Amino acid sequence: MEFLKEALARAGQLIITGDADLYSALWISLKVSLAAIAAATLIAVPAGFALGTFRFPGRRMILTVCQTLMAVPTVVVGLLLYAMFFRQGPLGPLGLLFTPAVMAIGQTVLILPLLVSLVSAALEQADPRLREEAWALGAGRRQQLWVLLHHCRIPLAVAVFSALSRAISEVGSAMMIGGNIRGYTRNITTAIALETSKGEFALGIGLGFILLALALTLNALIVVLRRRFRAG
Amino acid sequence: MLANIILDAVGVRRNGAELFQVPHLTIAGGRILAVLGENGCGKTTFLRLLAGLERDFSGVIRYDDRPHATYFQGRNRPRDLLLLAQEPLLFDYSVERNLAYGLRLDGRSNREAHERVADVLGRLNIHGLAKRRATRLSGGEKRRVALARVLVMAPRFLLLDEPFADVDPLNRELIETVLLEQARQRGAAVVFTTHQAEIAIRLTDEIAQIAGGRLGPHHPRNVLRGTAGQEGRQHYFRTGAVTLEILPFTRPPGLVHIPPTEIVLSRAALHGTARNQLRGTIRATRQQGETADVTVDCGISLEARITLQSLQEHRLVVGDEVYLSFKTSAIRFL
Repeated sequence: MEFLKEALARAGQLIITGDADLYSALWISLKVSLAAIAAATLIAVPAGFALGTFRFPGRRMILTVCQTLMAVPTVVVGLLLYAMFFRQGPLGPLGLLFTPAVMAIGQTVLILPLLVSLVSAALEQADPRLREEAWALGAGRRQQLWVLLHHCRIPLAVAVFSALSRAISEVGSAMMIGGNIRGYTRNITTAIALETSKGEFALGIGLGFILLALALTLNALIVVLRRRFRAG
Repeated sequence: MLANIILDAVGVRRNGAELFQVPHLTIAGGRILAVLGENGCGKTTFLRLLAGLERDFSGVIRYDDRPHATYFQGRNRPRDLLLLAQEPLLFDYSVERNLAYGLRLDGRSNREAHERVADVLGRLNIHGLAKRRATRLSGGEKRRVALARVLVMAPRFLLLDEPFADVDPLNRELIETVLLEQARQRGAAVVFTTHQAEIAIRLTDEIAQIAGGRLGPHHPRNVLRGTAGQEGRQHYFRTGAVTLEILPFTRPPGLVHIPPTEIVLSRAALHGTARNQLRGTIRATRQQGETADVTVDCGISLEARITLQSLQEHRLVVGDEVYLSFKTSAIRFL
């Protein structure tokens, strides 16, 4: 118990004094995950719109694949991307392995199925008359999408925050393709893994607290948004 | 050129099954057409088809000589044909922005949009709602705003699905005025569906009815033109040939309607509570399924709808003398 208390006290100290390693890991986590969520949103919104509002052959299959991939282990994504990006791999010449960029790509791949599923579900539940009314008043496809996005903004925000939650807390792919390079690709989760294996619990616990705080904030936001949506 | 829609040999379908046929119909600018029909007969589907929201039909529909298939296609399709749904859906914006939505898409300047929105809100007496969030309005307010959103586009074709259902008298009068204005002053072609024959008779130039698998012209029976007045405590309605006792009125009606189902036929005079009794001669009988329409000449021509069984039991035939009885409350003011 003594040892835990000590570790907790040191963790607090590291947070308060602005420890360089701790804040560098936090910054890298945020940078990578926000880039990933931006990229995934750009792809998932049009894809979710198509899946959620049009009926075409193969639609069910795509949705089923997305739902299956929601549960894919992060290390499997890491493994696949490692195979793509390592020196002799098909994308090896890009020289992206062990960079924050490839970590963002990994997280994008990881959260894309989740985001596509949630976005298409949100848009599918929207009143079909919304698009009809917009169409009747002269809206083209893109303008209809805007109306729809506006009316589904809260479930869409919930989808984005859920995906961000998954991205920021994953460790498998970040470790495998990021390489855990101090000050460059070491983010919160890989730092915790490393510090723990070294027996340096204080930094690990401090980072753990920060990660928990982030997850809590995101979940609180989701809860608030859900409540607002239900209240209309 | 005045707007027109022409339908020829059109089969209206829903989910692949044919609902009814429209042998021929012209919907012309400056005129009001009412479409009557039972619930579920396809009135809404018909309007949605005209509005381009349904594409499943056979035959030919032309808008100002452009076929249905191309009229609604493309980026520059006309924004002058609008449908007001029975339960309209407003966008989750302010009322003002809801109204300006179509105008902005139409490339109007902010200023022009603002002016037109203010004008329509004023005309419908809802300028107070401009800044309110449309989805938070009451049912009646929503319907007015939806009507305003259609009117602000100054459509040449105005389609309305049951605009008079569940509407209080004040709103009914407002909608009637608006429809007349749109047709008479702006030259718009106005089509509305209703199950209230009286409104259709009062308001329209033409009535169509969906019945027996087809949409065809409907000629309302028992509509009388005349003058109303009061003698002592009694209110009456006088045509050239007959005088009828009617319910008290606030505004004297110039047009009344006696639904054929409200008229009782008898061989001898009845001593009942019906205040109106006319004697006449049967001029025609027409059987329709389980009922029969009997046309009686009693100075004016009136039609009574009775059951086929009554017709047969009383052996009513052309040339017979009969009495027509109906209550004062059976006479509807138009």
